[in-house]
Amino acid sequence: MIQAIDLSKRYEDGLLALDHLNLNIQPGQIYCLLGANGAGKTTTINLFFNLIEPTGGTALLNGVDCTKNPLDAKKHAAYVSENVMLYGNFTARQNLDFFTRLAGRRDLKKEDYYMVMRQVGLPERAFEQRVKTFSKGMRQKLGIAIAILKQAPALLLDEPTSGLDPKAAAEFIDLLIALKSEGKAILMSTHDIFRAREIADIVGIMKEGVLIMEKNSAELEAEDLERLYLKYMEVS
Amino acid sequence: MITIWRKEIQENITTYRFFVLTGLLFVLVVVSLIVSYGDYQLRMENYNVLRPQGSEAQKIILQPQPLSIFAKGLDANLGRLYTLSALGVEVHSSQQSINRLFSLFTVPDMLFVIKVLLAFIAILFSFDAISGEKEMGTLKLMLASGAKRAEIVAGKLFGRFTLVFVPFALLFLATAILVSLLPDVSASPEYWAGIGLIGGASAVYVLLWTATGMFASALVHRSAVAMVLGLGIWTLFVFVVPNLGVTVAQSISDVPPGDRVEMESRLTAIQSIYETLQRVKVTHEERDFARIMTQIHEANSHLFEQYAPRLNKLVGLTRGIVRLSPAGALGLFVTEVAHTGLSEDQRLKSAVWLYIDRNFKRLGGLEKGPVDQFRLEPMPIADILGGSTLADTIVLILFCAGFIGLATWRSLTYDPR
Repeated sequence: MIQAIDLSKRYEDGLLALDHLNLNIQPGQIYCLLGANGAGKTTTINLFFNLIEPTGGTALLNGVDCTKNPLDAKKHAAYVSENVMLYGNFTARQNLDFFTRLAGRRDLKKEDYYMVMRQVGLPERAFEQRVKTFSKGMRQKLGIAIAILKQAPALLLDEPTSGLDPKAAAEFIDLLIALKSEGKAILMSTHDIFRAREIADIVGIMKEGVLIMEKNSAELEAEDLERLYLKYMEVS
Repeated sequence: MITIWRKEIQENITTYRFFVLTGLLFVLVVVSLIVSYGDYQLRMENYNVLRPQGSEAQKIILQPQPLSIFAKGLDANLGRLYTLSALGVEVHSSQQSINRLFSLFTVPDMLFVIKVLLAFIAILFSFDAISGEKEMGTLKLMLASGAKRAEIVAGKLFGRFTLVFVPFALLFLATAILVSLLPDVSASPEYWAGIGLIGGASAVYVLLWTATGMFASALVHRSAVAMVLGLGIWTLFVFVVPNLGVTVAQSISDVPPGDRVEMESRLTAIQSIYETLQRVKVTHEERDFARIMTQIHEANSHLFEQYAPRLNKLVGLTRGIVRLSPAGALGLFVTEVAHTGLSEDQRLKSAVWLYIDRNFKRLGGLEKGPVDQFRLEPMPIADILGGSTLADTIVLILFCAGFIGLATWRSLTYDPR
């Protein structure tokens, strides 16, 4: 569903941000990308949404080339950023309405939006409240609601729990697990080793644009992920 | 595109920016109406007092046009009293009814509101269209949601255009209706055609400045910088180029400022000869009188024939340079439509000279009989559109298309990260 084949990106200033990345995430899998800042995690996600163009390799979403057919490819994936920023003057429902219309869904009614907002755990009073009054946790939930309403089979999240309090982060992770059980393929970049271990089917560690380690949950059973991460960060 | 267009309106219509700028527009339109109509009334009074009564053919004064309420243009020139004699024309430069304060301050007519304020508002509504969305972090989400970049550009451009133009169009229409109901104003089909043309030109002009603001927005990554850039372009095209154009045209044209002085001094000389002749006339030396009168007329005609083409050349050059700015092209277009432009001024001058040429014998008392009444109807709209306004229209459309093209090009390649 989410596939990278020798995906590379070198910026105009010569920096090699991503070096021959290979990934393959199946429906119902959560893939957690770990790595320090500047490791290439965000670049990877940006390449899938064609926000930047690769200098080599291919990014595929449900088999569609993200560079050659970006609009088609984007239909198969939803995006949640580290800090979901929405229109502060719009209510939660108006934001949902706008972004789902952009994604091509024009069949939804007020009740459909309410249902999804309940699903992601937003309080009822927030549905018609302006988003500028929302906490970060509420905005992240609304971001997930936008992703859910897009009904895309793949979900790409860029450090979505960063800056959330433990309760909000736990609620967010529960939502991801629920989406995984619905068969979504999920790629999440994160710094949170413990959450990654908790929910990931596959964990990859990136360093300076290179995927230096990839292990599935079975392989990780016997390992201490934190120690492993620190080891890979020190080596090479 | 409709989704983004609707979002742009919904998002901005409740902001302080919309209320403040639309409020400012409302205030200025009302002030412009009050001041311009007051001035129009004064000029009408002036016209009614000074216009030729009965067979008083030695006076020429044009009736102020209702559309001059919207674009005063050269109306102060066009509304002057011309006193005719066989010696030529005496133009009365000081009119009792012209508002003296207009010499100190820019006339805040509707053309000023459109040319300066509406362009300013369009920039202030569009400078953050792209860079602001990037700063908020929503541009990335929009693109990731599957919106086409071209749709984002079109939706934003027309959304912001709607926010500026629709309130103005409603105010302008209300003003036009109100003016048509006021005393001293005859709202003919020509009046409404003029209103329609001014409205249409304003729409192109607002779209142009909205695209300029968007271009500035897509050129940089910070809204504050985009605003400075947009206002810089606005200053250049609204103030610098049109004003510089007039100065440059005067300095490079072959019409020396002394020409007019020379003409006036020669007229003074002619005046003295005339007075001498008047005394001779009393002595009934008719033959010499007729000969000298003919000589004076020929000298005047010669002066006019030499001066007019050079003046026309200066006007043409000024037009050409001023058109390098959309504000200049709009100003020329609107004043022509309002019958207060350069063409109308040139028509009046030519018509007056032709009239003198035709009637100089009777004006000079060499021939008995009544002198024709001077007539100069305002140029029909169809003729105006076929004249110099065609070039102004093309310039406005080219500027508009150019800035839309630049805004689109920059937005399509804009880095949303």
